[in-house]
Amino acid sequence: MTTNWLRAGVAGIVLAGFAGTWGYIRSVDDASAPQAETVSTLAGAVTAAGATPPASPTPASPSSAATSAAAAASTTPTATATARATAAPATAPGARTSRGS
Amino acid sequence: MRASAMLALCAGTIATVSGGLALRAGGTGPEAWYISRASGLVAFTLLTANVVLGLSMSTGIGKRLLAARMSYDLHGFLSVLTLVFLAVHGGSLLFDGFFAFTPLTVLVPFVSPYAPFWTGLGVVAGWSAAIVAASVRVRSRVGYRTWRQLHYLSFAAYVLAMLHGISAGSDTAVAGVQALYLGSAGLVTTLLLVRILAPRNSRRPTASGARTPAAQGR
Repeated sequence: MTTNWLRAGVAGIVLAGFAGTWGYIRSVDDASAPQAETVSTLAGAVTAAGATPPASPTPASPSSAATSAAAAASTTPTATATARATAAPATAPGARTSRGS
Repeated sequence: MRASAMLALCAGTIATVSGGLALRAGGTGPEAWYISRASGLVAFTLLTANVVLGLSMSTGIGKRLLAARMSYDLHGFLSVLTLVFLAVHGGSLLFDGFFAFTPLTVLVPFVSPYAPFWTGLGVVAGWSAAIVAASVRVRSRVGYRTWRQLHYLSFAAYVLAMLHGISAGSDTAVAGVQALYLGSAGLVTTLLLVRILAPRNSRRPTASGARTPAAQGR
């Protein structure tokens, strides 16, 4: 009987830990993902100031964004996480094809 | 029987929640990736806890904290829980829309579409943990010596799992995860040293072939 209570307690703690970790990881990724609003605001500020943006490494199209993301993904896990977050909106069949394996 | 029912309930809950949410995300969202990362960290924590418990039992430290029979029972239960979360860790990748994981790339080492080498170490660690867990079930058939040798695979599983987590994990930069790895390594290393340096006759209570509660129960 005691053993069953012990197992139930352990299983409960582990399940709670899993749920907590899942939520924490999601919140961390949400917080670190670049926000589209921020990007457009910055672009607007540059235009308003009359400055010419330097030759930007920023991808111009969703497909090139996906390509850049795939390149970043091949480097480090952290870069992968960032790339996943960045490329997510571009999703697209093209993105998946270019990531391949 | 009750233990099996509880285990099935636990595994079923995890599988249902994880699989359901992953499917709801349509296979292209990041939810499956989150589940994989979370279950990987939980599996590593469980593996650490089980290695620590095993070392505590073999050094005699565990006897002061928990009755022998409960320690053995918990040891077996943690090993199964570890395998359940390993299954979720690998299984959820099949629903990930970013990398093209297949059952083959999840089960076979070094063929993963993501960080093949470091992910491969994780696959080897998983299989090692599964062999150790299975060896307990067939201990009476394979004999004490073979079981004991197979049990040393748990150290390999632990080290490989840590290397896999540090090198392939997306959360290695998170302070809490770094603390987990450091704390885990510190605890296991300390207990391992205690075990190695402890007098040999004080840590082999079952070497004579006596059936332990673990062997009797399974």
